[in-house]
Amino acid sequence: MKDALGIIFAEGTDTGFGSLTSKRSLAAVPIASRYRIIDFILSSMVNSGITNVGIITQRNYKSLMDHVGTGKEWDLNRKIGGLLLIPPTPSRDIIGSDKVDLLDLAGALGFLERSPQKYVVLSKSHLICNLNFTDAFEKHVNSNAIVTILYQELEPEGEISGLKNRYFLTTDENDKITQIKAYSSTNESNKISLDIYIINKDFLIYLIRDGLASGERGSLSEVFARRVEHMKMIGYVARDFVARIDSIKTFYQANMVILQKEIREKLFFEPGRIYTKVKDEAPSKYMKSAVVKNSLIADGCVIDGYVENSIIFRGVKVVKGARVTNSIIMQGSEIQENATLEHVILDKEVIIRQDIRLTGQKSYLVLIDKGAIV
Amino acid sequence: MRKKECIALILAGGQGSRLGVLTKKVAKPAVNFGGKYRIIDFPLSNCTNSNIDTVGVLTQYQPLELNSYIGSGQPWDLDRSFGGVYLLPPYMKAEAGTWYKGTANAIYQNMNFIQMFNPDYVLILSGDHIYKMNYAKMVDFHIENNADATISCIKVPWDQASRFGIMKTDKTLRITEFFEKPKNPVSNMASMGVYVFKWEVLKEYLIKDEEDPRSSNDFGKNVIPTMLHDGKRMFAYNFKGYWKDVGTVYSLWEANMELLHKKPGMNLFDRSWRIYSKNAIQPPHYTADGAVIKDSMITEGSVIYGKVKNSVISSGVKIGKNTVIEDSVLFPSVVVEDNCVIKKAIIGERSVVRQNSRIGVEDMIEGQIPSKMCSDGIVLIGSDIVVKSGSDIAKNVMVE
Repeated sequence: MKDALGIIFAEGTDTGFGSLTSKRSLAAVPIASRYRIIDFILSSMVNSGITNVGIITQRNYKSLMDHVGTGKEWDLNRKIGGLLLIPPTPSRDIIGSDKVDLLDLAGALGFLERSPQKYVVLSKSHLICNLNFTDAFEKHVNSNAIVTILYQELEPEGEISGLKNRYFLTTDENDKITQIKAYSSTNESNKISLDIYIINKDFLIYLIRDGLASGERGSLSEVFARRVEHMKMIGYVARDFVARIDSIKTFYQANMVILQKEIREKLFFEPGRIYTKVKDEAPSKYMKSAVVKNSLIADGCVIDGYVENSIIFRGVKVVKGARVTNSIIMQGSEIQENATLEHVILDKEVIIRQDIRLTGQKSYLVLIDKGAIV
Repeated sequence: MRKKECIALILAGGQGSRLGVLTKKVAKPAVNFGGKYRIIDFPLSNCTNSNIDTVGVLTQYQPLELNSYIGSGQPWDLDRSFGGVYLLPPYMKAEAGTWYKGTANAIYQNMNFIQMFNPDYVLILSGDHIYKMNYAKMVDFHIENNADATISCIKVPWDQASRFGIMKTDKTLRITEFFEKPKNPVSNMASMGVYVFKWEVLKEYLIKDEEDPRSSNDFGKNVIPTMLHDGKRMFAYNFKGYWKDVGTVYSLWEANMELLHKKPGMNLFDRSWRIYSKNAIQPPHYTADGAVIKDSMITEGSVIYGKVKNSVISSGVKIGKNTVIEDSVLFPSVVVEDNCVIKKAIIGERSVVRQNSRIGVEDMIEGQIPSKMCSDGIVLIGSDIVVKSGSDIAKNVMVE
C-alpha cells in the first residue's frame, strides 16, 4: 500500500460526550485501559502498510498532539512521509463538526499535493477496530473505481438506534454503488457506510478545490451521493469487528464489549497490533485483599479492593474495601476505603474519598470530570 | 572539540553460567526480570536518570538478543545524535583481534571509542545487578575528592564477604587496602563493580596492564590493586539502598519475590526514578471471572483464569482454569494450560505447560537424579520447552 496515504479526520463533538470532550478531541479520549480512540484507526493504517498519515484536527487538539507526538510509537517518525498534524482550516466558521466537510479537508490540500502517493485512505477517528485495508485497496485499484466506500452489513434483527445521520449504500452485483442515502424510516439497504473511503487523490483534490470555488458544502457522504450516478464508486464489505463511538453510551459499550474473549483476541492481535504511547509503568500489583473478576487492567495499578466487569487504566489505585463494578476508571485515579462505584466513568486523576457511593445505571452513567475530588 | 564530561561503559559480556538454562540462548544482562524488564534495564535506566547520555555496552557472549533488545536505545531515551547507546562487541583489528580477555581488557580494546568523547571521567558498570543508583552523585563525590578512582561499595553480610572485592578505608574514605575475593575478609565493605576513573589515569593503567603478560586483565584482580600499590588517590563511595546480584538461579528467584513485599526494597512504582524497558506492544492484562490473584505482579498481555499467589507474571502469559501458580516467576509468553499446579518455579520464555501437570510439588525420588539440577527447591524450565500433559516435575529439577 505504498501508493496510498492516510488521512484521519479527528472530528469535533458538540454534544453527546459531556466533559469527556470538553478539553480534548474525541480522537484523544482514553479507551480500553491504555489506549486513545485514534490508536485503532491509526494502527490499522500503519499495519496496512501506509507510511504517510495526515491527521486533520479540529478544536482542542492539544492532548491529541501530546499523544501522537512525532508518531514514533506507530513507526511514523520518518524522513520520508511519516505523521503530520494538520491544524483546522482557518476560514472555517464552525470548527467542531463531526462530519468530514469539504471545507475541513481544505487544510490538507498542501499535504495532499506534496505527497507522492496516488490514493487516499480517509477515515474519521471514532472507530474501534483492527482493519487491514490491503484487500480493499487492491480491489479499488483493479476496478478502476474513483471511490471505494467500506461498509458493514446490518443484521436483519439488529439494533436500529443510532442510525440517524448514517448513510446506507445500494450496490449492484459487481459491487458498484448505485445509491448513497441517509437513513430514513423507509430505508431498505442493510449496507451501512463506515465512512472509510479509498479515493483517487487527484479526484479528492479536485473536489476540495471545486468546493472552495463553487461554494459546494457538505460531508463527503453527501458529496459522493450527488455524484454516484455518474462515477464509478464501489462498495467493500468489512466483516471485522467495528465499534463506532458517537455518544457516552456507545463509548461505554465499546469498552465493555472488549471484555469478551473473542472480540478482545481479534481487536488487539489480528490482523496487527494496536500501538499507543508508552508510559513506562511498572507491572500492576495485586495485594492480599484483591478480588478481580472479568476486568481489563493496565500497568502501574495497585489493586487491594474489589473490581468486577470494569476497565482500569494505568496507575489506578483501588484500596482495600473499595468496590468497583461495571465502571471505567481512567489513568491515575484513586478509589479509597469503602468507596463504592457502580456504572461510573471516572476521567483521569479523580480521587474518590472513603465511604463515597456513586451509582449510575446502564442507561445513565455517572461521569466524573478529570481531576475531581469526590 | 566536542566532549562529554562523563561517559558510562557497561560490562555485559558475562556468560552467566550459574543461571543454568536461562543463559543458554541469551547473555546474562538480557535475562528477564520483574515481569517486564531485563537485567540491563537497571543500569541503562540509572544512566538516563543520572543524566549520563553516552553509554557503551560491551557484549561478547550470545549477543544477538541483547543487541536487538537495545537497538537504537530509544526506550531509555538514549537515541542521541552526539552520544547515546553503542553496542561494542570485540572486533577484528588491522593486525589481530581477540575476544575480551577480562574486564580491563574489554575496556582497553575500546579505548578509541572512549577517546571519541574525550571524557574527563569514565564510569564502569556491570550488567548483572538490580539496583537504583544516582551515578551523578558518585561522580560528584569523585570530583570533590580529586580522586583517581572511586569504587562504589556496600556493606554485605560477613559470611558472604569472601565472594566480593573487599576494601578497607581511612576516616576520609580513602581506600587503604583492597582484596579481591579474600578467604579471610578484613571488612565487609564490598565492591559493587561500579567504578569512576579519571580517564587520563585509567588510560595509563590499561596500557600498562595490557603490557603485563602475567596479568589476567581484570579490574578487581589487577588494575585496582596495581593503582593502589602505586599510591593513587582511591576512594570508597558508600551506597545505601537495595542492591542485588542476580547471578544465580536462587538470587534471581529471590529478587523477583522481593518485589512482592508490601514495601519492596526495589520500588518500581517510583515515578521520579522510572525503570525503562522496551515496550512489548501488548493490550492490558485480563483477569477472568473465577481467577484469584494475591500478592502478585501481573503485566500487559497476560490472561489469567486460574489462581496466582505470590508470583511474578510477565507479559503475554496465559494461565488456564483451575491452575494454581505459587511462589513462581513466569517469563514472557509462557502458557500454562488448565488444571496444573506450579510451585517455586522459574519458567523460561514461550514455554508451554500442558494440562494436568504438576511442577515443583513432589520431592525428587532417590535414585532418579536428573542430569541438571537446581538448588533450594527451585524448578527451572528453560525457554521454548513443552511440558507434556500430565507431567510431574519434582523440586530442584532443571529442564532444558
